[in-house]
Amino acid sequence: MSDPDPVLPAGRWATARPWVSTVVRLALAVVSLWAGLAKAGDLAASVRAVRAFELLPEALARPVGYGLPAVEIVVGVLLLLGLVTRYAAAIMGLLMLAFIVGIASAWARGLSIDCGCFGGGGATSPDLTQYPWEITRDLAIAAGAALLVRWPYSRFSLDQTLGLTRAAQ
Amino acid sequence: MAPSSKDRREQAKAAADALRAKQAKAAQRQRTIAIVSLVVGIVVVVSLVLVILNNGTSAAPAAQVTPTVATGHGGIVFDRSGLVTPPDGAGAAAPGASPSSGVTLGPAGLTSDWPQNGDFAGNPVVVSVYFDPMCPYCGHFEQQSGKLLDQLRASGEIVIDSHPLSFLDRSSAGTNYSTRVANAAWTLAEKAPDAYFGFLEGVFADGVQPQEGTAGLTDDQIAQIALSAGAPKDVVDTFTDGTYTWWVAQATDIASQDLGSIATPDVMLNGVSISKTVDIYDPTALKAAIDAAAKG
Repeated sequence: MSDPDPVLPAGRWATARPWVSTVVRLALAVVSLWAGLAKAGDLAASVRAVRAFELLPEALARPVGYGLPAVEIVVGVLLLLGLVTRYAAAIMGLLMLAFIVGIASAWARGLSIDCGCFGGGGATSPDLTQYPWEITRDLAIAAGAALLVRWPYSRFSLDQTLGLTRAAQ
Repeated sequence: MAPSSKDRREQAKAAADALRAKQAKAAQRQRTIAIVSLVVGIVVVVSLVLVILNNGTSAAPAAQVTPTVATGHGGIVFDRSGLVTPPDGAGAAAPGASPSSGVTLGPAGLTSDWPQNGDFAGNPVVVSVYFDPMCPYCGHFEQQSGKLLDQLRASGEIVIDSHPLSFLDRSSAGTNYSTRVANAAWTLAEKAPDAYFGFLEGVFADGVQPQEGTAGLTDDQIAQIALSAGAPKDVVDTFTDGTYTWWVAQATDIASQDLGSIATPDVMLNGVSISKTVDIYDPTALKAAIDAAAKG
């Protein structure tokens, strides 16, 4: 796959790209691990945070509340190691889109909740909601994930070690 | 006819191509196996870490004991003469029932269940109160409106459906203060119900209720408050057994299903929340809302 260079002259962007991808990959890894581990200590709270959105049927509250931290940690480890980067980033991007929909919907319905993105969650007082910030943050993460899906090749990655991706893909 | 040298060359080339393709396929397969095992390994390790993390931080439940006084929605009901044990089928401890069986989602579902549909003398308003021992506004509510609720219950105008919860466990510097107090409350409801409200008044008293984020009252202090409320010493001594620790988590989960997002204190009249529409900290406003619910 060869891509026409969007920004820089061909040579310089080709050189910088793996490094940009590396920085984005590690940043996303930290965010995903942090979000997952913060929820992992209190899974009952994670289930309650899911219910607080009042979006999913009760049958899904528990699987999502328990499963989400696990997925976030696995994705975080994969990004940290740089293993199957493209797929890990794709999962993270889709999660962010789901979160944005959930937060926007809670905002639109006038709920007063904390998203519980980094543990906790549930009801909060109306003047303590942070919907614009939470959505902006998730949009930025989604953009980073999109970049990694497009250019998954990065330095210090298992993908590179295993020869899964080539520099000139 | 013997094959020409050109044919032989082409055959050899085809064989070599096939071998190369086979080798490439094998290498690809090995790489796939390596990746799949790595990913599976990571998933397994993460799952183990999750399990360990959770067992490490949550208060370790001694046993799965469901109080006989618990309603199917995880409440404790008191009428003018004291504790009311749920009738057959309305309790959480029904034989073979899972703790949340029969629970329907949303406030509307509460009205079709006991005690909201209960048969109490004088047709009192059912006042459900959801609270966490660590929640500052729950203390404020108890101090402001507790007396009014005591009076209205004594006069038979209301029955109380009390819900001690533990969702603020993380706000007590690792001591699980909410669970410790809620366990004590459930123990009293089960073994010494006449001390129940005195105990709540004690732990929510101004200057007694701890600040969020602190370690909270010690087990000894909690025991002292229960003794002062008139609970027998042999009952109070069982607080530290954590008999209802497991149940407190179940009751909190049931409340989360019933309420969606738990915002305490939450006050319901006949199963309908008034916390967002009525100033529940103003006894006059609360009394007016209860009177309106009684007429309706």
